[in-house]
Parts: sequence; structure tokens; C-alpha cells
Amino acid sequence: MGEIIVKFIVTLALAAGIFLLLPASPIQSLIANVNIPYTAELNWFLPISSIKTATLAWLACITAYYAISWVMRNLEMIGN
Amino acid sequence: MVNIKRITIVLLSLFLAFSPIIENAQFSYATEEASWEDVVNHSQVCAALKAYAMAEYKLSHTFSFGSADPITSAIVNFSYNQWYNIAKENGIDLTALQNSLKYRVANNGALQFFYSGSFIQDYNTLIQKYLEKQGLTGNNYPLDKLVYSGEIFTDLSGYVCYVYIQNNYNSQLTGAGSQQGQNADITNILSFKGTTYKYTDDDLKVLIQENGSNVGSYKQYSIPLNVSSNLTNVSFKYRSVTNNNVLTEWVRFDDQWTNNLGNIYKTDSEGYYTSDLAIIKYTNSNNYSSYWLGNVGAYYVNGLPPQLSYYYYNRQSQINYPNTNEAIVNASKYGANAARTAVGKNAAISVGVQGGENAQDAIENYLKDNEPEEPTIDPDVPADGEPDLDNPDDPENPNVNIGFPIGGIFANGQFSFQMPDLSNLPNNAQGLPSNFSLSALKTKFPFCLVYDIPAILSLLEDTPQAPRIQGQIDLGVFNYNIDINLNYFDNVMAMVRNIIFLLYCFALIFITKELLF
Repeated sequence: MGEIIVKFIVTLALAAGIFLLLPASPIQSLIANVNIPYTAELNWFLPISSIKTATLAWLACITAYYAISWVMRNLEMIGN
Repeated sequence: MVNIKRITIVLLSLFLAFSPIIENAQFSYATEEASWEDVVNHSQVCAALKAYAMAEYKLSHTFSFGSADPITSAIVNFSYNQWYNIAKENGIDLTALQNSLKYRVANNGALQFFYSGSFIQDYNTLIQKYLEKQGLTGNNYPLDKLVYSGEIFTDLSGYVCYVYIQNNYNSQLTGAGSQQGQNADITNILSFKGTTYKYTDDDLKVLIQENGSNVGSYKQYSIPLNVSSNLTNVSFKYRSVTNNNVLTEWVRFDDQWTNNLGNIYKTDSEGYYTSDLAIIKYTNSNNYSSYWLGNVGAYYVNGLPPQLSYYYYNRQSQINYPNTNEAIVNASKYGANAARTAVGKNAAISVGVQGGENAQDAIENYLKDNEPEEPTIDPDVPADGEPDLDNPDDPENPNVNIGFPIGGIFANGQFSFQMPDLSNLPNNAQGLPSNFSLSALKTKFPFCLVYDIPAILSLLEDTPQAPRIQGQIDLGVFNYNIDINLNYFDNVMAMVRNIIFLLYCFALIFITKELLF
């Protein structure tokens, strides 16, 4: 039992270490200072706000689907 | 044999997959952990609250309260800036205290901001130390009975209301209530030398009735000489204000109050007075405008025509009557039988209202001539700088940026603030800490990709505004001005946008089908 806990902690530590090594998002820094004019007029034609909300929700669902699929594949509950 | 690797992978995957759901759960319950972006998206009330809260954290940094001067009985101001260092010397971190924003749902469904009374008790302690230092002690100034408490909330229409109960220097409780609507929850809790008082609506009504000329008053808003105003209902609504600003339409007097013009209070020596709260704009020599809560009302002197007087409390603990350069907002509500007074504590000058002249016409003409200019917004005004909290010696520019909305109360209505753009609010999706947390995953590649796409779309997001084409055609002999404004099609475009959104949803469905199957 102790060995299991130690292995679990080591694995978590490795995961945390890998996480810290991951690079930061390059896109966030690139778009931080972007200023687009006439956005109000653009939004008058297109529902950007609603599209953004729907896109975020859709991406979250797709990500969750892929994550769960990957987990189940690793647990050999489903095939390739 | 248990596969540790698989268990770890499963747990991490579950966290990643369900973190949006977890965060949505926090958002749904509007707990203190919810970010302000989540709060503002929760409802229109929350949006109004967020804007208010952003203004309020600036209010709290111009916070000051009043207590009675033992000699003149006038309300004396202690400004936040003045008290900051004193509090710091006594180990009280005012910033930390003011960060304890709490909000809850009132009985009428409105969300309330509530500030803990402990802050007031600490301030009370500081008052005592300060006055002891000034040699102002004794029976005329029972500091142990000087307690303030306040609650600010907004109702469903977005109006900000303020509740205040004050214990005046004569150890008499003066009840003050402010509510917008019939069922607002104005329960306040006072701590008084360790004893807790809980005031219900009925208590406040009793207090209002029992205190004679101090009926239902915000004592600190009253004129000196022990005359106070009947402010049983107070509400005002914010509009946006920028630096070097001009006020847009701003103040609204509660209708019930205006019907109370018949409540006239007699002063000791100056006749009758009725008053109401007003937001008065004051512009200093640096062209910085601040907005003060003062009184506007009809002022009657025996033998003279009725006059309009207004005043506010400044930071130097003096009661100043604004000069002719300052604007009265919505004072036309008191146009009847009112005239403007000159500078001076006992001002009693009538302007344009002579014997036999129609007072109402004269006042209305006077106020119309002195109507505030249309607001202008200077787009080149630089953003507010960071305050120097250790040297708060510039009370005229109390621009404070804490970085996160905090709560606070104002005891005497002294404040200045700037209503910020919603887009400038702290965004927890940017600049997140590097520690290992669910929120930090949003900034790490490749987990950030899910959030980068909406972030890019955010650059294009804005309040819809119809295009307007303006120009001039010069044909030599004459010029032709072109002004094409498409706002005529606002309703149609709203429907078109909704249809486009529905088509986008259909497109997502078909894309999902191609992606997953």
C-alpha cells in the first residue's frame, strides 16, 4: 500500500514538473495589444458575442469528449 | 495489481475535462470565488452591480465619514486619505479591510453589498485616538457612542440605494433608511460597545418617528445648526464618468421624497428649510471633477422669498457653499420657490426673486441660464495612474486601482469615482499564476488552445452600433453633406444577427458530426 502511494505521488510530481515545463500560450501574448477599429460596426452585422459564447461552449464539449475517449481508450474500455 | 499510471492519467484527465463544468458551478452559485466576468454574465442586475462595484472601490478610497464638531456641532469630515497613515500606524490595514466585499440576495431579489461592521469599529477607535490627540474629549463628544454602519445595494432596476444608521454625538440614535421599492431589505446590524443591535424596518420607522427634527435623516447630510433633512428615500443612478469628465445625466431624486416637500424643519434662527440629496459636481483648478452628495432644497427666511440653497462637505472639514461655477444637477425639481444662494455659511441671497415677482418663473429661468454644459469626453485623457497610498496627500485625485473590485461604504456621501469600461476589468484568463492549478492550465500550451479561440473572438467583440457615414461632397459651387445613419435598421439587424447565430449553431452541429463520426 505504501509503495502504491509513493508511486502515485511520484507520478503526480512528474506530471507537475512536466506541466511547469510546458510553454505559455503564445497567442495570448500576441493578441494582448491588438486593437481593431470599427468593431462596433462589425458587431452590428455579426453576432460576435454570441458566436464567441457558442464557440467556447462547443470547444469545451469537444475537449471533454476527446479527453474522456482518451481515458477510456487507455483503460481499454473502448477500441481504437 | 493496481496500475498507478492509469489511475493518475484518469484523475488528471477528469480534472481537465470537467474543469469548465466545475468553474461553471462556481459561477452559477455566484460564490465569492466567482470571477467578476462570471458575475456580470449572470444577470443584468449583476452587470449593474459589477459596474457599481468598480465605482465603489473608488468610492471607498475617498471614503470619509462625519462626526459632530464639539463646538459648532457641524459635521466634521475625516477623509480616508487623512486616516490612512493613522490607521497604518495603529496596525490597521484599510486596504485589507476594504477588500472584504460581501454580497447577498436581498428579500426583493436584489443583490446587496454589505460591509462588515468591524471596519466601522476600527474607524471609531481611530476617531477617538485622533480626537484625543487634538484634545477634543469630554462629555460633549462621547466617542464610544459614535457608530456608523452602512449597506449599499442596488435594486433590480439598477438604482443604487444606501442604508445608513448613525448614532449622533448626543447619544441619540437617528434612524436613516433608504430603500428603492417597497420590499427592500434594509436590515442593518450595529455593534455598539459589544452589544449588537439589529434594526428591522419597524425599528427604523420608530426611530424615524421619535426623533423629531432628526426624523429619518442622514445626519451628516444636514445643514449645521441641528437641522436635518428628511431623507427617508434616497436613490441615485450612476452614469459613466471619465477623467476630466463632465457629468452626464446623473441624479434622480426619489419620487416619494419630492412629495415630501411639505416636511419643513424649523431651524433655530433661520427660518424653515427643506432639502433633498443632490449630486453636485465640483471641478477643481486641475479640471478634475468630483461628485459630491449634498443637499438641495428650498430655504425660507422669514420675510424673504424662498431660496434655493445647496452645499456639500469638502475635505477640509468645512461646509462650503459652492460658488456660481458649480452645477446643480436636477435642481429644477426644486425650481418652484427657490433661488440660488451665494457662497457663505448663512447665505440668504435671493437671485432674481423680488417682491411681487413670480418666484417659480424666476427660478426656472435662473436655473436654465445656469444649466450645466453638455458633457464632453476627452479621448486623449490618459489612464489613471497608480495611487501612492503611503502619501495620500492629493485628495482631489483619488484614482485608485486595486485591480479587483472591493466593497466599501461612505458615511457622508463624499466620493469621486470613475465608471470604468467593462473591458478593463481584470480578466482571470490572462496573466494567471504559474502555480499548478486548473486556471493556470488555461495559459499552458496546448491546453490554452481551447481558450485562445474565444480570446481572439473577444478582440472583435463590442457593443453593436449602426454604421454612420458622414462626409462632404465639394462641387465647387456648393457643398453637399452626406450623413447616412443605418440605425434605422437596428431592429431588422437584431433579427438578422439572431438568425446568423442560429445558422452558426447549425454549422457547429454539422462540423461536430464530421469531426467525431
